[in-house]
Amino acid sequence: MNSPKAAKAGIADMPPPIAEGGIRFLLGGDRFVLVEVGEGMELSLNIKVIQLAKRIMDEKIEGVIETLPMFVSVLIHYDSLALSPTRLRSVVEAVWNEMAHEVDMTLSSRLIELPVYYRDPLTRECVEQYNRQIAPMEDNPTYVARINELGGPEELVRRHSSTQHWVAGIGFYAGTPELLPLDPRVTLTVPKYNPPRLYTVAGAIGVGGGFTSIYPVDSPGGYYIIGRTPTPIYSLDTRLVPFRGKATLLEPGDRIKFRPISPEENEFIEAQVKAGTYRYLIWDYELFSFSRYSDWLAGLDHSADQI
Amino acid sequence: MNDGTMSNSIRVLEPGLQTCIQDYPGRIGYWRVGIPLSGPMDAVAFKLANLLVGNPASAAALEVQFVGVKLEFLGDAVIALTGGDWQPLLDDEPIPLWETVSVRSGQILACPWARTGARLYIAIAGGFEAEAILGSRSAFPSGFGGAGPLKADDLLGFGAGAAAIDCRVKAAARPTYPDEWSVEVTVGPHFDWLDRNGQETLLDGPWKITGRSDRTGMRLKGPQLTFSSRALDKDPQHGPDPTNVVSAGYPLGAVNLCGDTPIILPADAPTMGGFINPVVVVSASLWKIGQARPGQTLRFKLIGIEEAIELRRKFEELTSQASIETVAARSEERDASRDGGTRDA
Repeated sequence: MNSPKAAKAGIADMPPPIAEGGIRFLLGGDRFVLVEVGEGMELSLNIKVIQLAKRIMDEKIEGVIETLPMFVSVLIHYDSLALSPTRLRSVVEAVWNEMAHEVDMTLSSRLIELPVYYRDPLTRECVEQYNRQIAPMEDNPTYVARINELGGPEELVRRHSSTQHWVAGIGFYAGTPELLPLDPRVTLTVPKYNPPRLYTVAGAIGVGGGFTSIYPVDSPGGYYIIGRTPTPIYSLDTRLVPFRGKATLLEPGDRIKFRPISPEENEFIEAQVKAGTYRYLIWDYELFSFSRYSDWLAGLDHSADQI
Repeated sequence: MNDGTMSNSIRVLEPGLQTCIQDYPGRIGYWRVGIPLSGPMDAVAFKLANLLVGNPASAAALEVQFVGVKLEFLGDAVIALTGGDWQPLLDDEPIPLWETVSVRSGQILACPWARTGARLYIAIAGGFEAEAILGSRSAFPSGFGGAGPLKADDLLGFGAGAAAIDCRVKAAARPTYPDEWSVEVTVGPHFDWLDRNGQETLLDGPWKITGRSDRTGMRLKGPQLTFSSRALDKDPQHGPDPTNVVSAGYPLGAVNLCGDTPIILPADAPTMGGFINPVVVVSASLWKIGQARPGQTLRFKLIGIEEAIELRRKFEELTSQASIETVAARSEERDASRDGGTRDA
């Protein structure tokens, strides 16, 4: 049976699955298209997506307003009165094909160090509040360690801070990153709160699914929380260098290194942030080579005692 | 939102319900880092209000939602109000919408509540003064910091007044605010995640607008939807619910399916997430989401992309100087036809 309405609007029955190396171009009203490059959540596809989003902007095509890379798709915001969707499609395909012919993929990727007070009292208070008001809830780092068969919360902290995390996309809320560990051996698998938490302190480090995220502002949330960074990732305080002309710290394709800090250092950094004198550690000259990363991955020792 | 005394300012006596300053089109270029566009929920009424007072259509103006404001003018001003039936009063005397109104220092404007429509726009010649954050004077969504909604006793500055010509919006260009809305959509990225029956059901509704609706999302209640194999037999990476998908960017105006609840994503909505968007409200019809009220019903009308672009073209024409006429010109016409009758403008 064919839907008359769908047929009238010129809708094909079912798009074919994405062929190896191909893309799918999906309409979203007259100002947006979603370009999908794959079905799964592979890091290699995400790296291509971030590259594609950036190159479409670099082309400076009249009518392209902005791009949003996230996991395996790029959302393109455009002005269809200046650029027809057909023309946009051919531009995107041309950029994609050009990328396919490149032997290596090297992209600029900043390395950002974020100090983290793991197992801190503020996130613990969020959990205890949930425990009192909503449902029984175990100490989160202890629970996450247990269901991932780790020795305990200390091992969780050691693993979580041992790898760089890749910023696979940003959004939902201002500056909220979706982070993947670049070392697959320390991936955590964690369910989400059900029902969600009503309050999470800004700066909390959450783990859910296979991801890590950071809460930019006080907000509800569903990820298990294992620590907190005293350094804002979203701010309107222009005394802090990253927030001049920008309200968010992170960009897709950045890498984050979490550095465990003591309660004393946490207090020290909080005071610096409050005074507007904190200096973020950002290495913005770094490049990320996908082929060298792949080689590194292939040579990894997966026996548990290597971490 | 400034303090001290200004000759060109307005004192907020009653702030209303989340009344905020917006500009058009809003905050562009930060979608990729999770900052929504913001801007007016109803761009038609917003742009026309600005054009009436001689401002660029993009200038900062007030968006009033459901329950009105009371404002005391501390300087002379030319203003224009646009929206549904709000029955605004200036010093207790009714004033019209869709026309310029001259205000003298000391006068009080009261806009009690919306009988029809949901949002009222108040533009002022010279525009409202507000700090631009990331290139826009639009209020940040609640929780994001920055200048939020108006509070009692706020002082709102406005720029030096521009033209004081009496203008009105042509009758044919004034939108109507029905109880049942037909909202044009195109297919979205996940239309095929619904089966045939689900697609028809999503379009036909009817959908009731619930009270849990604001600038971040309009939540709908209605019939049960059915899904295709693409939603039911997908890779587990997408998540357990038929409406879960690997997180992706959300188009503005998307009809987002979150379990059983469709949520239309307007100006302050999240920029991305893990739920499907089967259809997307076309840009020329998004103003309807800004004026439809909880308790009313809506249905979606599926159109093709070419038609959506054509509607956009008409939207640009409608929200331009072409929709504005001077009152004097109309009076002269009337005078001529009445062969010199008394002018009442």
